[in-house]
Amino acid sequence: MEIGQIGIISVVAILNGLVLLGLSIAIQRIFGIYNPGTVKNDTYECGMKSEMESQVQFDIKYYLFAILFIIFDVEFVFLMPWANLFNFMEAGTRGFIIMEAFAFVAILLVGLFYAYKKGAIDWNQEPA
Amino acid sequence: MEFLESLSSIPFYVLSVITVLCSLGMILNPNLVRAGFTLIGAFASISGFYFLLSANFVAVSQVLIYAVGIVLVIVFAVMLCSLKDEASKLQEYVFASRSKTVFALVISALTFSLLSFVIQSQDWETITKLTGATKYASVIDMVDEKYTSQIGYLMLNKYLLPFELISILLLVVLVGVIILSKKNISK
Repeated sequence: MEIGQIGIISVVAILNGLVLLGLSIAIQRIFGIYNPGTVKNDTYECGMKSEMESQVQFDIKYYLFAILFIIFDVEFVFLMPWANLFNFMEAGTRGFIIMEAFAFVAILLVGLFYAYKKGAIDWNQEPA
Repeated sequence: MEFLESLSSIPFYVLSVITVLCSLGMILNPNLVRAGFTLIGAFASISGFYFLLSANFVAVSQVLIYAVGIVLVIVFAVMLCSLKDEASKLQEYVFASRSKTVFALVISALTFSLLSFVIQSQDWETITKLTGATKYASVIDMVDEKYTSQIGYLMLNKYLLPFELISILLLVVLVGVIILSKKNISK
């Protein structure tokens, strides 16, 4: 595709989105009735009264899971070029490449096993 | 055709506007969780720049690591600390003190001038000659579809030891996180 066509398409897409969004906001501003109140603006929670603020202190387990996610996210990013390269390699050299990636994953599997043993993956168990 | 070619730079400007707006929103928003979520917009539009430069692997890494991972950790860290009261105090504090505002402005101006000096002082003509790109064709023509596998080839041959050391580093991070969070829970 020509780079000019990409430009035209993106301009049309952006304008389309902005115009539709602007129209809906404008129509709502013109015809809507704005009458806020404390009860009206409250969070709807199955008809119950909300008891506390939404920003509470979270458990550290969430943070542990986030860090674990990032570690395996980074691992995935580093395995992506490997998987891409695999298609272009000749059959003879593929074994060596597989070994290299297996060594990479095996070291991280040790960490996963450690996390499992320490109970970091089990949500209900405190890490011991 | 000239009209079409001028249109082709529009995605760049759109992405720049989104990046600048999201970064400003991140700095000026007193609500830290919202600031963290505007950071996603800034990172995502920066990865859009990489896509424009045909650096697909860098763009995808940017989305996977920064726009998802780092923001997730920042938002969780904020929710963990429950900084709601401190955040409103912080905003008053920063904008009330004039000397601190001036100091921040001076630091920003110095950083900006240093970066623009570095970019300006590069010998771009020699670089384009060395890389084989002509002035108008830019880097996009040099990059072929085997780009990601070229990275993989270098990583598994010339830079094999750093590649395996990365997994050791990740393992160390994993063990460290578990030990640190264990300490916090027992307290």
